[in-house]
Amino acid sequence: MNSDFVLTTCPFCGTGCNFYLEVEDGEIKGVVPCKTHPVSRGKLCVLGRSAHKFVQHPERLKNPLVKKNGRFFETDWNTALKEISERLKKIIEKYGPDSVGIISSAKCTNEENYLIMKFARAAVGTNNIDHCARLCHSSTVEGLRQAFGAGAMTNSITEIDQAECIFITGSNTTSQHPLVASWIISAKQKGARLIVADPRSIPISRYADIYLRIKPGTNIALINGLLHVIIKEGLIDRSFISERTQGFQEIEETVKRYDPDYVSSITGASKELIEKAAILYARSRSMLFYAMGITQHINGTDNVKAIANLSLATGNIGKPATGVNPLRGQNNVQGACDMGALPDVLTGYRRVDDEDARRVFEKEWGVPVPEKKGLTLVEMMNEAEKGSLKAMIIFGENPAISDPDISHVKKALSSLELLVVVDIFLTETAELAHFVLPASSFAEKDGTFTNTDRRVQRVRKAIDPVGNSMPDWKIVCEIAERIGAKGFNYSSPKQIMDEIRRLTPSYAGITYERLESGETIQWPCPSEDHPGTPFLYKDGFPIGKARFFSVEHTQIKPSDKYPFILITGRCPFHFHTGSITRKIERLENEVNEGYVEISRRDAERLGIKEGDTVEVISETGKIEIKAYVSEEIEPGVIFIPMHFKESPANMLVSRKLDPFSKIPNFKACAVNVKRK
Amino acid sequence: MEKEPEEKDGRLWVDRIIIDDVACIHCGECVKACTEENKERNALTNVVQKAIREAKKEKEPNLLQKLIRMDLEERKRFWDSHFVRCIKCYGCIDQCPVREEEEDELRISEWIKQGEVPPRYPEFHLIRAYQVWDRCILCGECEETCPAGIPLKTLQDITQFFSPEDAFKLVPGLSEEAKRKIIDFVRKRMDKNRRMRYEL
Repeated sequence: MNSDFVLTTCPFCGTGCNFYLEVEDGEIKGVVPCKTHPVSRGKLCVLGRSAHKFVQHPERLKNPLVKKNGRFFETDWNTALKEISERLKKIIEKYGPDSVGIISSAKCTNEENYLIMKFARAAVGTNNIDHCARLCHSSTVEGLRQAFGAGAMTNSITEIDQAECIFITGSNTTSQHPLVASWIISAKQKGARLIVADPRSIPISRYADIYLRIKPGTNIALINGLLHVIIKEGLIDRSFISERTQGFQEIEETVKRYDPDYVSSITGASKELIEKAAILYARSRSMLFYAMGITQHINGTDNVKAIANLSLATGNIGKPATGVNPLRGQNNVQGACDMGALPDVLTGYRRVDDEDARRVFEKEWGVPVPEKKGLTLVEMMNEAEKGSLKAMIIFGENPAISDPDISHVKKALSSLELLVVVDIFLTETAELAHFVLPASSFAEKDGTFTNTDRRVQRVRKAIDPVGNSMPDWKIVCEIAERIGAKGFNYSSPKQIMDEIRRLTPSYAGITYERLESGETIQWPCPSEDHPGTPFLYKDGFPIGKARFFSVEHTQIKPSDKYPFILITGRCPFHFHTGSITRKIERLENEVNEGYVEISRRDAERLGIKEGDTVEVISETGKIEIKAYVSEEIEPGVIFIPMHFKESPANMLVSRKLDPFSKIPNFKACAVNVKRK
Repeated sequence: MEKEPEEKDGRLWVDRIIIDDVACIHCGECVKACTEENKERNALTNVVQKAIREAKKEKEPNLLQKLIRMDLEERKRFWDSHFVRCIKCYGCIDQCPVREEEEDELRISEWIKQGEVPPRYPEFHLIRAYQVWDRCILCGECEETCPAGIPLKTLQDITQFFSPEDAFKLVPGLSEEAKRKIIDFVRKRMDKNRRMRYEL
């Protein structure tokens, strides 16, 4: 018998826990937590503990599929790749490179994201490259870039136990980032104070010192209210504001109107608690955490800027155990952004409209880099439906469930001349494709993931690719070479990383040798002797002085026709569109269908009983779903998890976008609920 | 200055050494034995030494002793404050080295609603602890791997060193029906667990 333990990084959320895959004769038998790992410390959540259970699932795609007369047939790689590249080449020749859209994957490695990005820009010649960060933290990337100069978590998970105060808003941390919550819980046991602001009474709010139950979409009012109290009480950090920031006068003026009475009337949180929370946050060494509850709004970028204001005004940034800490949802969504799988930036967030930046890449790649900003994910769908986007290649994403207004997404994808989906399972998106290519999972390839606190970590091959599947990086190279692109001949992910390091100053010192010797390195790491950066902005901001932005609350007005506010999100036992977790028996046994969480008061008023099937209707669509009557949600607000294709929440969410980041409004959608 | 354990060198088992807070009398014999047997693997000895040093620092009573001194109300508050954090990750179940398939007499699913977080307490935790009553080796893996920081090793100590009747006083709040099931389960296996019993 051949047995082995292979240390690797978890493929689910952005926390970046490590574990060993236990392999016996080519079969993955289990997951063993790694006790020496700095973040996960021998602990894992239910998803991590189940991470081996989908890899060798019988439904894994094992051969390329081609659709003929509406049905899929298995084919060999050569035939599939030849046909794809011929059709792709024709489309590029006939309609130009901007008629092609590429969607990269936050599930793929850094090396793969880099190559997919390079494929779009150097092989196809378009900036139409995006990935699911558009749907989760694009408002963070945009908001924090404007405020601080870089859109990433400023501090480290491992600093949490040194914080005096932890402020969580818009993050159901115990469900979505359980191991970050684990750090928060142990900090609290050591005496840290905890503030939670959330419209739902989530598990972590039960042991908060201060719980602010706010109405959906009132984040800016709350944060401005906290700033009002902090300024009034004289708790601002004057020297920090004058030395390291600009624009404070603007927000000082704005927040004058946000006195506790006014803010209480908007948010629904009590005046006393708002005052207490403001004083506690300002007086302590405070870490602020947020997630989709802040970003996924029509004013997501403004929400993020409000949070940046709060940390700047109190000097809670640029020091250990402080900062603005967006928790990233996917294992490698940070890395996919760092690698430039975005329509406006190259690796390391250098803008495509910056000529100097383009030159660096043109020199390495030997081809011109397009200058015009490309289409975002949701814009690609719109253009596809209109007919100006002709071909798409989608790597490891499932927009037919994850994007807003999915009946439109399905229509858009179906109207393409060429749709290629690269995935490990036949997802709802793959079903619409002309070609489906079988990719290898995290357990079958080498590479790196970058977690939410900018920690670059190794992913290691534990078993050979399942069936005839191939790692995404090899698939990209195959297609690139077949459409005649140069510079896609790599022997290993290490070789790709060396190219990334040459082009990306923040990754320059992150070598495979260092990672192999057991290091996990947090960017920026500009040279091989640099230890990495646990917290950002110690000695200044990349934009010189950090910027305050004056932001205002905008009221969501429920109409008579759609009187409820819908929040979409996750449940602890499933991940995103469920294409992986719903195939894991233990998780499916826990929760196997969608539900709408509705307050007891609303349920009684509408005559809805627990378990009844109800109709939820929005301007965009309609679904039928089981009711779950709960004390943990405000009247007037409902919650639906996004994972279940049988009752897809995204049938209801509209395509309206935040103007700056183009993020959709997954967290406050006007709907109505009716008894069936 | 002692060299810190090399992460690469035997990492998997180096980080798996835990000193049992209840059983350790700080004699230091394990350090001696480890040094003699393992001259080349410095790391292993360091881990043991560090653990002993830290254990000795604590002059306070351990958690089990504290619990014994509490009244019923305090014990309930204590355990509730821990169990409410459970995220049902199944770590205490998956990492248990002696756990086998559930037996019909004591099934978690009989008491616990699927999909609910935190799972009903103390039912979930006591039933899980008693499922391994006749074979628990008190290794503490359940506590080590618990992301919610629930003192599960102490829970195991309680179920192992006390009668179920006393255990239900140390971890109060279990339904009468579940108590009966557990007592029946334990009675049928009395010959299999030879641990010393203490009385409250």
